Amino acid sequence: MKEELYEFLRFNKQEWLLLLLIAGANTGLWMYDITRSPTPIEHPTEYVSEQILDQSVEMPTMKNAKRISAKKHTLQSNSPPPQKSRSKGRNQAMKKRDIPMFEFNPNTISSDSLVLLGVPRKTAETWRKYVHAGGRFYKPDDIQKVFGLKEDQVEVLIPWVRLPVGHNSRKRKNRTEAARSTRSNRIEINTSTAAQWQSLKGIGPYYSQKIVRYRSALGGFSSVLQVKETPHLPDSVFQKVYKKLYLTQMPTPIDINTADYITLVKHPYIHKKQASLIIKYRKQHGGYKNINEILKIRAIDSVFLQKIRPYFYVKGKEMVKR
Amino acid sequence: MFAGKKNLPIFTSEYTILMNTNWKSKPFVRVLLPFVLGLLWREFIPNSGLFIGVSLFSCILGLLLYAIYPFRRHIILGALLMLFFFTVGFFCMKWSTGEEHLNYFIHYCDPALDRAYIARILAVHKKENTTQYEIAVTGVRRDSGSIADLSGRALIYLKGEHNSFFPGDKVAFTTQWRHPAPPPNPRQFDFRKYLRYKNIESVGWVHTNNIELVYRDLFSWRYRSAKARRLCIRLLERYVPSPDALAISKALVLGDKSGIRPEVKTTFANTGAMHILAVSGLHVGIIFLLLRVLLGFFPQFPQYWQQLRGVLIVVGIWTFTFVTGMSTSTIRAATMFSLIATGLQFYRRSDIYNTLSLSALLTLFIEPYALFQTGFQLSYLATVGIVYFYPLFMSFFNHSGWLSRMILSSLLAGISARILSFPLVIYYFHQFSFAFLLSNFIVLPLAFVILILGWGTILIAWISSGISTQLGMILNGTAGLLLQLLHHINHFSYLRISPLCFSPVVLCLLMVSLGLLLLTISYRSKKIFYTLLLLLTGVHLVRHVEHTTLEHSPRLVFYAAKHPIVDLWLDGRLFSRREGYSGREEHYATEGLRAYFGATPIYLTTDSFLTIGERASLHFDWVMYGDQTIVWLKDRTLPVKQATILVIPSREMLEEVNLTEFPLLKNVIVYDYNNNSMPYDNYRLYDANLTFHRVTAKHAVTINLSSL
Repeated sequence: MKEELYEFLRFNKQEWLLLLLIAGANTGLWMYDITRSPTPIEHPTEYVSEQILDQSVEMPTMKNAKRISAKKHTLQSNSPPPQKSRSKGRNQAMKKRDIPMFEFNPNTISSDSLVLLGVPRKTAETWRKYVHAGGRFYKPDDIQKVFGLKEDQVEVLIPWVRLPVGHNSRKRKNRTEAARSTRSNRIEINTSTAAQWQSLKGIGPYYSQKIVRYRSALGGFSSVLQVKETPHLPDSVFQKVYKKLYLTQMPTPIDINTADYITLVKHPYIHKKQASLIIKYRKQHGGYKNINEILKIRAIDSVFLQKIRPYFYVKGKEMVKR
Repeated sequence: MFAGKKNLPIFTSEYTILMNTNWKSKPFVRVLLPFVLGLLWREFIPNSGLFIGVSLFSCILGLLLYAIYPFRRHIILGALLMLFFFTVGFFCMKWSTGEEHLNYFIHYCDPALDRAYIARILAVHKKENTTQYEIAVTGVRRDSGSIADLSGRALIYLKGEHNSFFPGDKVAFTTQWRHPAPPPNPRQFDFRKYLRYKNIESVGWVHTNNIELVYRDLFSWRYRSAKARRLCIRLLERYVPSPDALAISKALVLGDKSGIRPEVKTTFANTGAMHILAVSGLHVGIIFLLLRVLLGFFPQFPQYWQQLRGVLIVVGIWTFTFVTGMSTSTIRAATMFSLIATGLQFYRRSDIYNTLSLSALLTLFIEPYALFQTGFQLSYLATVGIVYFYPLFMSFFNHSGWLSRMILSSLLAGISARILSFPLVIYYFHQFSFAFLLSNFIVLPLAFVILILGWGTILIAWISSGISTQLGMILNGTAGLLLQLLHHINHFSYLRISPLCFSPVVLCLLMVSLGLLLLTISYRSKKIFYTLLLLLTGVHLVRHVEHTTLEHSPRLVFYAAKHPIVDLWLDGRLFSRREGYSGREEHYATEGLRAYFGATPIYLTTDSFLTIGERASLHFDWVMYGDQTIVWLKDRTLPVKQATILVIPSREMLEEVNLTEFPLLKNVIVYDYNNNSMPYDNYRLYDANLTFHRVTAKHAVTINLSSL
């Protein structure tokens, strides 16, 4: 037993070297890890640019990766406020100003703010008119387009121009803020608002309104494919978006034994003849025992029953007498 | 677990020297022991001052001895090396804890200032209604200025299924961090501990609108791996029609367990086949075997081909790991098998225990907390069990027929994998199933076939979708067959001992005695054998004492659950009273304690009237036991005057009860889920001896009747 223990504790030279090397390297790595201290960053945009956080992100794919990285590059290249040009600009063009410079979006800035930045009142008005008429700035250099803005003024202003990431795609112009915030998500077809529908590519204010109206008429969709039935919604648009749709909230059904004629007729699936037949049968036979019983009406077939089944049910088992 | 590899040279005479007690060839095994001891020390005695004192003292002692004592100096040096590894283990564990890092993110969190946290996604887990992201926080963004270069892991939850982010992505999100509380009920599953062993301290819910992608590195290995895995999953989804078969083959082939229904999971767990659902050693082992067989067809090839073969096997194993999503368990298994493959290729005499220890050492160096993860423990114990016991058992039998040999080997592999791991299995899962004796015959060959068919389907889909469709149909059938057969085996409920549980003390004693068993066989020493017997008697005694003192002492346990549940342990039997049934939540609350005592409850109903001899009579609303009377107060009904323990279902009702009506009252239990802040002091005025107990959502109450 003693010899065994001795053997247990005996290492040769190579083993010593190897083991110490492994343990030493490991300890060194851990030491490096725990002594690392965080770095405070004064200007948030250096770390994560404001645009990336506040605006929806363009998802990089292999195709547009180059474009995005190029875009990022241009953003970063002018993101920190350059001290030199600031003082230089002050000396040359805007000596009288006491207000410090600030970052601005040339597409949304008001004329008063432009005056604060040192732009002459008249040129500022021209600027606003240009934007109001549909003019857009896609890159910082574009502000040269403003009539009456002098070259040295442009030079001073360019470092302060901030444009959101997706600013150069014209398609997103009409989108609402809500739509932008949910852009990357899928759509729950029964609870999402018109604005949320607009976040899908291919659906604008018109189609979203149509879909929401049809949904409220139905009382809610019972399957994703039902969206296709929306009047005026082309099949091509549906094919484009249907992968992003999903359904969790089923429509709340109506008791067919208490529903009146108007409720039935308002439902898109039920014609007024069918509605009156359903009501008549109910009056004659004293209420449906279950929903399948409407098949006993001659004019109603099983296809119709399948269609309306998610929207109607028979409450309890007792019959309603009328 | 590793029966698939039975024909490998690892288990033939060339590789395994039976009962090898030669320590010379196992430097890593020897060093692993003090290292693990160091890790354990840190976990159970976290005081570093004490540790440094002890290790410094022994270090100085060793050096002094080295200076004074002239003989056997290399042994003293060896002991010092062991001490060094012991220390390294301690500090590895210490420094792996997030708090020890200077840049741990919780130190810099300020809910008032923080606008967004920046983090890198490490892993994605899809649960029933939520998506969980395991993340490494790298920065905090504020209006005034950001902090970068932070460290520390966390878990964030998103509602619903969420597919936008991949591992490796950098995301920005807002959340309120919270630190999970210890479990409210006795012996309930400890989520906090579970997270701690994953090195996570904080969790947060994130609304889907409050999380956004900041940066995606298209060429990072994490992203590529997740993408490749998703592609393979899509292909399988296209060719395998039935949902259950698809879920099983996804789990087996690609390690994606998200689609498996809970019932199917229970079936697998009950029949002892759970290990094939998690991609781990078994799968990497099968791939390893497959590659060895495939590449072994050309023995007449020149020398460099033989060398290349080893490299190809390692590359193949890591490709498999890459495609299955690079989970911790797969990486661990891949490390193990690439070391084995390298050993086989270049150092034919290398020792398997040494290789195993090296892989364990590397894993623990990088992530010390892995030592406490169930997967790590079970897979290493099972592997060591197979490596040690399987050749030993096989040497007892001398069958020449291939069928009998196959049956025997599959049986013996199953048994030897469980010899070392069974105490842990019982400790964690509260049951032990002998069904593996049956299911091994089915599971192992079918898992092999499913793995091959699955990869065939995926790979051939690039060439011809027609063949893939056919293969997918066969795969569908095979997975369906596996499930069917396991369902049948699941019906033999007598093969399953459940509920069954060990206390930590018993677990430790059993593990030590298993270690002694290995030593007894290796050294053929009688002394160790007698020690082992003594220890086993000790285990038995401890279990006996635990059960007589705890099980037979009459107790009431008021669980903290959605609906009031009370367990009454009277005369070694368990009665349970519940109002309403909250399904899984009730199961989670009560399962731990009930399994610990191995009891199945008898539920009291509103019309039940039970008596235990003359000592006790039980009703739904009142229970008499000895001189104690327990009364449940219901909607101001007529109270039982001789009540000694009164249970009041809500805090409001306490206001309406006149406690002076109960002259014998000693204890009052109040359900206070709304966490009402009204003071209890007024009620003490009635009687100074009256004790109030509050059952809240975070606090269960246990009352020992014998001590009253």
